[in-house]
Amino acid sequence: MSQRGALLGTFVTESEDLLVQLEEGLLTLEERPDDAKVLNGIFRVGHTFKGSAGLLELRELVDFTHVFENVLDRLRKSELHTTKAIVTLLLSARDVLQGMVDVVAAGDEPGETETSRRVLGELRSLSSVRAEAAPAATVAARAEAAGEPQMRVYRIDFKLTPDTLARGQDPVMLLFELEDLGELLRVEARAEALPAFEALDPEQIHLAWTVLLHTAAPPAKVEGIFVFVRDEGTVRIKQVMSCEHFA
Amino acid sequence: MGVSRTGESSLAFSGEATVYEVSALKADLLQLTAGPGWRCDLSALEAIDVAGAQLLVSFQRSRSGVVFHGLSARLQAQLVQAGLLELFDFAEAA
Repeated sequence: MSQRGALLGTFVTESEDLLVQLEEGLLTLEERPDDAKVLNGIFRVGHTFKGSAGLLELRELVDFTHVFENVLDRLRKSELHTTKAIVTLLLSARDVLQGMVDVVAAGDEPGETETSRRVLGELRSLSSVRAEAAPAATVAARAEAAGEPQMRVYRIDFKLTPDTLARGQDPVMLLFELEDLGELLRVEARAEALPAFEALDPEQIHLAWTVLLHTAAPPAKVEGIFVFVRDEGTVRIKQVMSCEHFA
Repeated sequence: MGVSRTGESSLAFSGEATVYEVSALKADLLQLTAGPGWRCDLSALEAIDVAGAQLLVSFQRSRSGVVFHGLSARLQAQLVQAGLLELFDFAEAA
């Protein structure tokens, strides 16, 4: 057996242990979401996993684990709130890692799969969650109380008419109204259409926004927030995932 | 509200930068700043809205070497809430 082959064998054996620890840790976290010790333990496992994969230049594994670790870090720093759905997502990520290790064990190089791409995308969206967002647990509780257990994530792109501010309307109020419906996972102002300073009409609005909203609200309720601006601006609302992974 | 020169290449903003003040603020900036390279003190800024934010961002993007500093934590939080903070380039940790 070549030296790399031997190293890969050791990696697989160690990874199996780490993946067991990871699963146990995540299941414990589901029961004790505020337990910092458990979170730190999971983070350490993820970090060790990434380090080992890095030594062997298993690029796909390293890239995936890097995002996974980033989400864990945000949980650790209380920038994200541990919810059942996030734990479910992390368990899915753990399964993806297991699949990659199985590929290594079979003597192949792990590559991207449909599942790994989807899970990685969801992890990435969480890795950019605003620290100021309302706790997801609160949102879930609100939805349950309302008898609407199905959580959704909407991507909302909106650009208002240039004279919005002059007419006494404020896009920030729309953001507040969206936040009343749930948790704003991401709020991003976009300035592609912002004119150069000399050409800028400063009383007109030139920015656009992209928002990810996590909510139990049905599409009609989200659309209702834009009812007064929809005809005059550009509003696109799209459900991006069923959000079983976040609820 | 206003902006004033506080040095050869430094400016200080004060008061409010909202839709009600941005036109005057732009006129002042055009008068005060012909070239690039401005260090802008925002510590005396008391309020900012979307219009004020886009004015400052446009100013920063149109003149090379414009850097902001001193914005209060309260106003930074407001900008974060509106997704605007990342459009700025701050000289110190935001």
